[in-house]
Parts: sequence; C-alpha cells; structure tokens
Amino acid sequence: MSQQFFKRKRHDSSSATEKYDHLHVSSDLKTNIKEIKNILGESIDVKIVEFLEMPISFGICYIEGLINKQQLELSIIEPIKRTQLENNKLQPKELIHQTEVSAMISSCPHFDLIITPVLKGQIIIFVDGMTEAYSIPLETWETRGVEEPEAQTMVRGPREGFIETLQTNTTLIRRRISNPTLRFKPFQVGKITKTTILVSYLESQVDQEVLQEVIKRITNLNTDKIFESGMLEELIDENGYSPFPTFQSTERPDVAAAALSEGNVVIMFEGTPFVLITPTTFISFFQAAEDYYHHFDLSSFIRVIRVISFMISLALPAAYIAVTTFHQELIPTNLLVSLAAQREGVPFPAFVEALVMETIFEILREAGIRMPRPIGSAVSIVGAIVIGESAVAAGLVSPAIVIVVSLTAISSFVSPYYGFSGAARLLRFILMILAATTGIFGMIFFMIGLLIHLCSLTSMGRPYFSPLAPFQSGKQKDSLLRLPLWWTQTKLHRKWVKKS
Amino acid sequence: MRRWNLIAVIFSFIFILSGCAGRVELNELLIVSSIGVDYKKDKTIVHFQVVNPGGTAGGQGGEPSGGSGGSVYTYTVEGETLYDAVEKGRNILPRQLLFSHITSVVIGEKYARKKGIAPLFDFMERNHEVRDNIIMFVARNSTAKDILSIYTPIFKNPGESLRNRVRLAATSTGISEGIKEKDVVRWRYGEYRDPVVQGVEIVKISGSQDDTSNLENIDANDKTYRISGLAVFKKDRMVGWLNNNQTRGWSIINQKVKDIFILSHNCDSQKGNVGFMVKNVDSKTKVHYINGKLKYVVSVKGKAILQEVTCAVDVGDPNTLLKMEKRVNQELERHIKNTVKKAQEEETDIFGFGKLLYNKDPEVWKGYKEKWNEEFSNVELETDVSIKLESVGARVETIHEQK
Repeated sequence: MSQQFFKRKRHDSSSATEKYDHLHVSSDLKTNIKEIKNILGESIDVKIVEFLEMPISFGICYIEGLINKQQLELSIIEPIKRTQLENNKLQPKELIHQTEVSAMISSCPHFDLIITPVLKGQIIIFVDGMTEAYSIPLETWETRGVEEPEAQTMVRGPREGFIETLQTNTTLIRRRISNPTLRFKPFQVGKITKTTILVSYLESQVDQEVLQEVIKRITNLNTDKIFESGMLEELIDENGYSPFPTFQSTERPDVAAAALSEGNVVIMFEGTPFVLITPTTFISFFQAAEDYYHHFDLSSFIRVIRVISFMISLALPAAYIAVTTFHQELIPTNLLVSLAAQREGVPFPAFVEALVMETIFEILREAGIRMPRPIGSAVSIVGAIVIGESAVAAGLVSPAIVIVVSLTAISSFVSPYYGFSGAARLLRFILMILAATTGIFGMIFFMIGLLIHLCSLTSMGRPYFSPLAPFQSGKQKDSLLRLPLWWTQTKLHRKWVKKS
Repeated sequence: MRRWNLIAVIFSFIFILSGCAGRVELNELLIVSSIGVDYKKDKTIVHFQVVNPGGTAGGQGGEPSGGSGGSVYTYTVEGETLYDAVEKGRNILPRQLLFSHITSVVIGEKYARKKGIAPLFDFMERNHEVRDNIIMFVARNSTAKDILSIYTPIFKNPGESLRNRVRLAATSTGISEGIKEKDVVRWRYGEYRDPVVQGVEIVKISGSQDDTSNLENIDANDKTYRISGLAVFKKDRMVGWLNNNQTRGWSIINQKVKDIFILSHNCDSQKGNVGFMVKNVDSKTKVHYINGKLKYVVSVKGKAILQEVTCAVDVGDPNTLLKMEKRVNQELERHIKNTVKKAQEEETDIFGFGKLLYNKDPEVWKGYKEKWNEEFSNVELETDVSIKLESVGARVETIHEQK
C-alpha cells in the first residue's frame, strides 16, 4: 500500500534549491548586511540594526513581533556595548560570549542556516571580522491562552485544549506524561511555508515499524504548503479515496497523551490546535476520552448508543424509503396505516421527499457553520420553521420524513470525532439512491461492500477494522464495550482489592 | 484500474436493470384489512374490506386531504372463480391492492358448505403477499358480507377488532391464538385430519351498522361481533357446528388452550353455581391398539382456581374442595366426550386421531387409511382428567355462608 502511495505524485517539485543555499558568511559586516537585505527584501517587519560606531561593529537582524524585544535590549545589545567600551582589547570572537544568553547561541557559517531561523523568530548577530553569524533563540509572539476545546467537549475531564503554538502544546502533553522516553521529533514540511511539525511518541511504547513509516512518509512529502493537520492527513494517507478517516484528529491533550501511552504516534502542528493520532482503528472513532473517566457500565452503554446512532445516521432515511416503497409488509399494520395517512396528498415519492429534506438540512448545517455569529439565530429560526412546520403544513412532505431526517441529523452529531460522521453523511445519499431503486436488496448489497471496504483499509499499515477483523480476543476489553479497567490490571491489584 | 471499472459497471447494473421495479408509494396502495367470500348462484363473491388511512389514523399529523370518511370500506365483486373475482375487482378498486396486512378472512357459511374452502386456500397459499397467520372465520348463519359491513367502535379497523376479540375470548372458547390459515392448511393437506374454523356472528342486527353515524349511538351491541363455536369441515366442505362447550372440549384435546373458564351447575344439590378458572391445561392423547380395536386415551392435567361460588358451601372444608375438584374434572370430561361424540356423528376426524395412529404404527394405519371416516366414528374414548384445585381466590368463606 505504502509503495503505491509514494508513486502517486501530487505535486511537481517546482521550487528548486534556494540561491543562497551555499552562500558563506563574509568577514565584512557590510557585505553581510547587504546580502541579508537582498534576501529578505524590504519588509516593514524585518528589522536590521547596525552598530557601526562601536570598536567592533556588529549588526542584528530579527523579525518584529516574533522576538522578545526587551530581552534583546537588556541581555544582548546592552552587554555587548558595555563590555566593548570597558575593554578595548576585546577580540571579535570573544564579543559574542559577553551576552547574558551565551549558552543558547549557535553559530551559522552559511546563509541557509541564517534565513530559516530568523524567519522562525531567532535573532541573528553578525560581527565584523567573523566568518560566521550567530543565532539566538528568543522567540515570543502573541498567542491566545489555553482554553476549553470547542469541537470536542465533555462533561467530565480536563478543560484544557491545544492551541496554535507548538511550545504550549508540547507542555500540555509533557505535563500529562512525565516519562523520560517521551520524544518530540521536529520536521519541516512545505517548500514555501516551511511549517514545523512534531512527531511525538513514547520510545518505550511505540511500534517502531509504524514510527519509521510515519517518518518516511513525512520526509518523502513533496508539497509547497501545509497550514493544517487535515492537509497533511490527506497527503500521507494511504487510502486516498476512502471517505473514512484513518487519522484521528483531536484538540484534547488528554486524548493525545492517552494515544501516546498506548504506543501510537501523535503528529503536532505549528499553527493549529488539531493534532493527528496514528495508527487508528474504526472502533476508536466511537471511543471518547470521557469513556475512561466515567464508570464502565455507563461508558459501555454510551458506546453502544454511538454505534447505533452511526447506523441511524448512515441508513435510517434509506431504510425508510426502502420499507415504505418496496417492503410495506415489514411495517406493523397500524404504523403502515398511520404512515399512509400522512402520505395522503403528498405529491412527491418518498425518495424525493427524503432527498429534499436531507439537502435542506445539509444547507442549514453549512449555513449555521459559515454565517456570521450575530445572524445565527435568524437562520436557526427559519430552518426550524421551514423544516419542522411549514413544509408539513403546506403538504410538501409528510411528518414522518421530518422525524426521520431530524433523527438522522441528531445521530450524526453523536460521534466524538467530527470528521468521522462526515463519512456517514456522504454515504447516506448513495444508500438512499440504492434504497429507492432496489429496496433493501440494494442496501444489503451496499452494506456488504462497505464492510469489505472497511476490512481492506489500513492505517499506517495496520488493519483499520481491528480488533473486530482480524479478530483479537484480547483487545475486546476495550472495543465496542469498555469493560472494567481492573480487568486489565495485574494480579497485585486484585490482591489489594481482596484484602481491603 | 480494470478491477474498479468492472465493479463500477456491475454496480451501475443495479440501478439500470432494476429500474425501480416493484416500487409502490404508500399513497398508491389500498391496504386490505379483511377478505370475505360468499356464494351466490354458482358464482363466487369476494369482499375486500380496505382501510381508508385518512379516516383511520388519528387527527394528528398533517390533516391529509380526504381525511374524512369512514375508516374502512368494503368493495364487493363477483366472479366465476375467486381469482376471477379479484381480477374483476381491479376494475372498481381505485388503487393497487396490498394483501400483506390482512388480519382476518371471513368465509360465508353458504360458501363453506356448498363450495368448500379449497379454492380460497389455493388462492391464499399461491399469493406471495398473503401471510399464513391470518385468522380464519366462518360467518355463522350469515354471509361474509354481513360481517364485513360493520363499523366498530373503539377499533377503527374492524378486522383488528375481530382479531383482538379472538385473543380476549380465549378463556371462554379455549382457543388462545385463533385458528390460522397455516393451521387449516396443515391439517387438511398434511395430517390426515379434518379442519375446523372459528365461527363469528353479529351480536345484534340493527340494520344501520354499515353507517358511521351508527357509531354515535350508545348501544354497542349492534356494532360488535361474537366469536361463536367451531365450524366443522369434512375434507374441505363444512358439515356442522360445535357449540361452545364442544369448542372447549376440542381445544383441550388439541392443546390449543392456556386458561379456560368452567362453570359447574351442580352445587351439592343446592341452587347455585361454582365457577373455576382452569390454568396451565396440559393434555395428552394416546392411542392403544388392542385386539384389533382402537382406543384413545385423553389425559388432562392442570390447576384450577375458584372464581365464584353462588351457593352456601363451606369452602374452608377440605372435603368440599375435594368434591369441587371432582366436579371440575367431571365437567371437563363431559365436554371432551361430547365433542368427540359430535365429531363421530359427523364422521370428521377433527382431533388428528388418525395422525396419532399413523405416528404410532404406520402399518396398522395403512389398514384404516381408506375407510378412516367410518372407523373413526367407532373408536373408543377414555378420559383421564386430573385438575388440581390450587387456590380459592382472595377469600375463603363464601358470603352466602350462614353463621
């Protein structure tokens, strides 16, 4: 599978190596300043400051807004100036060690080692007479605080969510796993954007094969730009056309930490609160982090509810169409009479009815997400009246289909992972067409096909439908049901329970 | 890629080749709730009682157009044969018939006696829509038309009302589930046995029961049915009726019964009655072949609960209870013997005695097979009823008891 993936080239390698790649730092300060001005161009946020009146003249280059200006002033510029004036015999190469942050300094003999760091928020110092520049990491920029995640809410559990800054995100994980084998391995992707991503894993737990696969796919990646984890997900996914996500994306640090502790690989991004968990399974999209924080019986019950609602959101409108237009004998007599009464005078076939209502609902949902917040209530009022009341009162649709569509809509919100319910949302329409043409036969045909497809999927080379297929009895303690945590505990634990 | 193309082609065949065949919208269907058949001058008359959804479903939900009118309508068509009538019916029926929700089939008594049930059952077995658990009825002393021309209160669908009646009447008729189409077919065509069908009659004929305005009238008796006795068939012709006591006897022998109410008239030579509810009735019939003669033994076990005492007996006295127990057994024995006697008079084996013999000894059965009807009327019957009185109810002493 993976080989097939890497054969598919989605982008041409358009941007060749940069022209400054092998440019050496000159011993002349002015040449260097000229060079860097040439590369970075005239931008309002690029600051290049030269101190030519000093005994040893030096220049500083940084990007406004990415660095801590106060610290630059106090710990770098101030000490360099002062020691120069105090000590006339100071050599150029000793100058840089006079700063208060000398331990963080790294030297850069080439311009390619200068440009990327400065764009990421490091400070570059050129010293006259030295054939190398120095970079000092003093990044700080405006970030929002750690807030409660909006896309994945829960009743019981931590209220922290990832934010757009990598450093904060790694802290959030590190605070949950104080394990020496926790690793955050940096990579840069995107030829234009040079986005930083972190591949994180627990060295002691991780499946090395999966880890190598992840690293291989990221390093072989050939793309210009990446802004969100979803883009990477699509680019390194081996099941290109499948509607089912093979990466779990979460903005909850506890979910990411749990995934790490189970030996999964977590890919984190600069600039987005969503991280990717891989490899993943079909079942894991029915498992919320909260399941482990509540009592096992309740959690198991809720998981079953989630599976049922997935089936409802996938197949209920189709089942309604199939049963009312092909298999009337399956409906209890009284219900059939009641449904028939509702359909009296409805001008459209059940399929058109269902299709129209589903489409209206999808329009309303999209409008609800995209519209400006202040007019939100207007859309929801119109939506409720159009769908719920007027369409029925006008005799355009039957009340039963309104119930079917609303139940389907509600069910599609149950999955803890938004992207996963999207699969059911899309497949629902195909299933509806099949139900309208061939009834339950078509639905069964499609379901069998779907099952075959799910069993054939892999996530980072691991079977997607496991532990159901291939069946692993040992993993059933936490698949469709969440059995008590102490079932997986050691004997020692049980002894302790008996004694007390 | 070739594989995917192939799959796409096969997949598209489903849409194209099927072409929505067999698709019927709900508002293109006429839901048949009951079928009736009558016989008139060599012709078969078929009645379709169809549901008017607008008139049946409650006022809630959309107030569909044409929501008024009666809850059901009965169409009557005449034809040479049953299917001929059904086909002719399409001429006068507004929509396509849906047979899969039939709740009951009513056979006019005349049809059952003159024409026999074979054509009806051939039609029902052959049609894939008709279920095999439809409850069968014979219209007692009337035509199916009469039975299907009633608007019933409470239940808007008379067919449903009729089906429900069967279950409710189980303690008086003894037949807890009703006689279904599949029972008749199995008995008649699979088990060397003559079928029976429950009878139904209108309680009181007022002449206006086929008008919805009759539902406004408080007198409910002129718009209801009574489940009454069993129609006895010989092969597929009806030959007579079993009365209610004989019906109980039949249902006990055939293990159709769950609970049954027995009223004993004999009350220690006093005036008054004792009533029992007999529960968990379990019967077993055995056949003995001794010296070339057949003897059938029906043994019945069960528990009785005292339901009413209208004479002054000492219920607290164990001897009285033993006497009562004996009386229940006698009463049941009487029912069973009566039933068998009646069947022997009609020469119809409605108990499956022939089948029992066949199961026990196929060789002996071969000798009887040809002239079983005559032989059946000569077989000996023995009963062994042992009902145990389990409870006297919530009260021990009767209120009639003199202190």
